[in-house]
Amino acid sequence: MKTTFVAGLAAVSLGIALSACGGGGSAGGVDVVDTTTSSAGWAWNLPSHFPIPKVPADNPLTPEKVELGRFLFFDKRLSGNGTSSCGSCHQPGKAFTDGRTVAIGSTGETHPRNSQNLANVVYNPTLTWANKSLGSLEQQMEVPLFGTNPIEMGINDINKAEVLQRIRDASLYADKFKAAFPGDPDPVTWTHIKQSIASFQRTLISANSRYDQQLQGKAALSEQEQRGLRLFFGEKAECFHCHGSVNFNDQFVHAATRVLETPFSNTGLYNLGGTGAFPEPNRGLFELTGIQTDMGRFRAPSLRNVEKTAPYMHDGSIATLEAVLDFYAAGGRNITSGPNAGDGRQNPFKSSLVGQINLTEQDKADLVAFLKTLTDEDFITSPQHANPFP
Amino acid sequence: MRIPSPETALVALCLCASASVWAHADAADAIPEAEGAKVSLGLAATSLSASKPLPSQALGGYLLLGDPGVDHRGGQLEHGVAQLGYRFNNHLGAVVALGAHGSDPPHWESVWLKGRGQLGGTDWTWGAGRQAPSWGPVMTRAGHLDQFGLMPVAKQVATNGDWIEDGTELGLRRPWAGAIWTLDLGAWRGTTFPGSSEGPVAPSLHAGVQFDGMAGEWSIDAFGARLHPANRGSRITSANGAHTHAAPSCDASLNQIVCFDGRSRLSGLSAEWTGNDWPLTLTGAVMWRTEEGSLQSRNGWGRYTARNRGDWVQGLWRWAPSWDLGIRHERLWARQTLVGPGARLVASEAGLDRYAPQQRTALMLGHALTPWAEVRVEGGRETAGTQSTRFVALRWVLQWGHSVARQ
Repeated sequence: MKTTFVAGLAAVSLGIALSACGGGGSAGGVDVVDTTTSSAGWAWNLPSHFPIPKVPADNPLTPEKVELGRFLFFDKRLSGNGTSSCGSCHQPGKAFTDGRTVAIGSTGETHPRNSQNLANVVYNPTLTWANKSLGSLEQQMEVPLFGTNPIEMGINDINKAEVLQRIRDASLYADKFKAAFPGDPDPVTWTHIKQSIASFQRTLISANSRYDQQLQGKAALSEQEQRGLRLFFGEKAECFHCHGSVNFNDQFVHAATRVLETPFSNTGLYNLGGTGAFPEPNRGLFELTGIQTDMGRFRAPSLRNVEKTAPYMHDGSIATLEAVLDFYAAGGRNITSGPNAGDGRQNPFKSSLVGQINLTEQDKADLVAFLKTLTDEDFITSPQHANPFP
Repeated sequence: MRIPSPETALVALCLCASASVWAHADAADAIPEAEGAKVSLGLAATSLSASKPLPSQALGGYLLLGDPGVDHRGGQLEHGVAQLGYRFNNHLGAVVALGAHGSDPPHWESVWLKGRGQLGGTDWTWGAGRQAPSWGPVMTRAGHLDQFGLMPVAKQVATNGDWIEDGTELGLRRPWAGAIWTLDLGAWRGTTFPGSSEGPVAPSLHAGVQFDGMAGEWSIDAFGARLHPANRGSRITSANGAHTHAAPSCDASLNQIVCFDGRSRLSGLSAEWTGNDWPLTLTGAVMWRTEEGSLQSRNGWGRYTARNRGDWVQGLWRWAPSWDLGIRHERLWARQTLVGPGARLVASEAGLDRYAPQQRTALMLGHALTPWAEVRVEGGRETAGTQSTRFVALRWVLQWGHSVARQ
């Protein structure tokens, strides 16, 4: 009798447990509430896998400032000799790069480095290829505007006032500066120019590639692209170690960042004379720190829109994505002759993450197919990112 | 406790073969009744066919370790175990068991010293070492050398497969009111999932009852454990395709890791009825993992609560001495919340945005070729959200053992 009672009790208990008493019914669900405080007055319109960007308190985003920044970004009057704009080296159609091996400044001087992709630059905690101390876009603007080695925009002490006057005299800017900096009796200043361009750059968000759409269930990747994705995020190809963030790099900052890491890596591109050296003046962090182990260490660039940003590497020395994969599969680059001769694979300062990888031709094709899913046509063709000057 | 490498021990254990296998069974089954040794070997090999990886491979949307999971398709070692039990005297015995899955490295499933005795009509046992805490037979055997090849998704989510721990356990067993009552009280290091390398001792409790009633034999069990994982990491991106039990630690860097700190409660309830006159066994089980604490990554922090719940019901009909036919239906779902700065990205990194309730239904036909060899054919369907995957599997299950009494 007692056992029958126990059995009945147990059966009823299990029946109740097996019914939908688990809380939330048999569908369940995930509720996420992001309490990150945003830049007042700006609607980011980001997909759920993108965090809210960090915007400095002393330069909040406003539509007027962003619009002014777009005009200034593409305005050639903002160079010493009136021949170049920021947009000369950062063209929207090339995902804000220029397609050149290395950039060419307004005076024709060759820049030692390849123009960088500006997609999602708001998420970069350090800027340019190798400078730990360059942390804000406002601060970074001074490099192309006023830099003398190399000369980019070619603004110097001699022509600085003249360039500013050009901007002041341009009729289209009078209302735009007043709207962007209301209450300032003389809003056309270098500080406001830098703030405006930085504001425009912060809105260069690329978050609608096929990869992003796939994450949101709006698109599907092909079998080959999925194979490439698995390789990319797996230990075989190991790409994700340096390109694993939402922005496909390893330096990533946003409004809710708790721990900020800013790694720089030597990938074994060079090894001059077997000493580990890189060609001057392209020696990475070493140029600023003088520390031997910083030789050849550069910031891993974002791979967003990488299909459009060839050639690759800090010096544009690798022409295609396929060649980049060959380079990483070999664990570095062996240059057998010429002034840069040396076996980069043996560079003593090379990152331990860059080792020989056995990738088949199919693997490489799959990876390239996946990398091309990072192309965001909306970003490239957006009127909000476009050159306003004919 | 110093334990030799699994590879070395596996070779040694295989060489000393000189009688049945209970993978993940408790020490009572593995240690012979009489003084002497008992060697057991078990092996299940599977060939599984499906059009795409099964949704249960990685269980995206449930907070586990971030492993991408092993693709079960194709031929593979489902589970292999070599077990040596030894009884020193009537009161003391020991067992070591070495297991392997797929291409994962071998691991110690059991290294257990066990004493036994009687006190006032109650049988007691006490053991220490490494073993799976007692859950009761239904939840313990599910997923290994079982009638069905795939680990129940409920067990996958509750404990990332089998929960094997270092610790100690006291067992009490006593007949009362026409039934046999069992109580197991354990204290474990709590270092494997859902525990972490840091955290206090985890207590566990199992209560079971076995009795005859309603034209059959009943076995009813309840289980609960409480853990406090600290700095328990989950990998953000797929790492190596292996299945691991040790969570990555967050104590050095948060690079590519999402970290959980808080409280994790495991609980389960199971019942099994085996007919006296019908060759039928009916089983039902439900398991929960409830967590409350914080979830953080480099990119944010949030207050996290989760109630993961899975269950299954199973019918097994042994319609001829060497033939059986079974059906199992499983369900899995979770209710999770994450609130805090950067919560969206943390949720994405933890894979919570890939959440979907899951179901699996499988039909199985098994035939015992010999007392130690079985062949099983299984077919079914897994569903995750709106995605459905059909699978068919052919399994070989071999179980052999031999006892040698001490002269």
